[in-house]
Amino acid sequence: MAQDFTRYKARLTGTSAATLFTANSNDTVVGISVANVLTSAVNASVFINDGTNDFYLVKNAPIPAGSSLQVLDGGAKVVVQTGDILKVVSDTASSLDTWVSTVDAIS
Amino acid sequence: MPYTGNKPSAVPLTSADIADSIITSAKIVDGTIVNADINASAAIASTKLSGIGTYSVHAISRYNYQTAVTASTGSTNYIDISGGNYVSFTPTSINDIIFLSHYCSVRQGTASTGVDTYLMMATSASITSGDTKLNYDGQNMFYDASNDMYHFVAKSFLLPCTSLTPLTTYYIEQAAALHNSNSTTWNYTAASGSGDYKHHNVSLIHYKYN
Repeated sequence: MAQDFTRYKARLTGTSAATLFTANSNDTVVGISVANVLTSAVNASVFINDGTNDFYLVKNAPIPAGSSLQVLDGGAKVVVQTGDILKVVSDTASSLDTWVSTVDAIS
Repeated sequence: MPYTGNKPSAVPLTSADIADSIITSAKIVDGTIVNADINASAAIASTKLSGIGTYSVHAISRYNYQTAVTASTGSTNYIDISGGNYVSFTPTSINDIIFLSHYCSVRQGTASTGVDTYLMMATSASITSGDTKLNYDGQNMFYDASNDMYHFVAKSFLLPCTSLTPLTTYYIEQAAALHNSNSTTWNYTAASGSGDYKHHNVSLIHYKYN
């Protein structure tokens, strides 16, 4: 069965939460890489909004300069459903490059 | 949750995450260092402290001299404060020091024009003025609350400004000028009198605490 791998990316410019992607079906997130592109440490959060509440995968995680954070590790995966929104936010503007790998519409 | 590249060893960061000798002033929020942050044994060299422990001469002698008044002596080293004349000074800090030669009174507020009633001074152990009794011997100065002035009964003295209000002007005036044989009656105008208290000319040096 063919798998529809999809990637989403975000380069944060401000300190407000940025949407990485909105699930349009039963999708599986297989990787989230959050890289600090500044020369000083920042704190990052990644969360899923289910339409009502924010559910954090990680909150205010420190990311040193020259480092990236792999939010999903050891083969972990996160399943999202239609309407779920994956977001990332930093306490410092223009500090994060984020890359998300998903498998779309697993059935 | 793995990190790629530099890794914090703990969350929140610990000192182990920070390399030695890399924290610069820019990393410290301005205005956050307080006295408690300084070790009691720090022994910071005074040369590294700005404006601590040094004095400079702020004004000498004719500082704020009232130009309308002609000095009774020809010396430029003295200010004539006879006849209700005065000279003023303004401490810049409570740590300032004023040197004044000869007997005079220091008061806050508008300078006397000769109509002020000065406290009496006597050579006896007791000085009576109104309801105030003061010990002359061993006293270099006393405060006259009723007239808001300090009287100095030493021939010359250093006036620490610790009891004065910075940036407030004080006036040097003629002290209760002449005593007469243990009398509590003092003559304010004693230009031709005898005794140590007749001096009308004072030198003033204002040492500013830097």
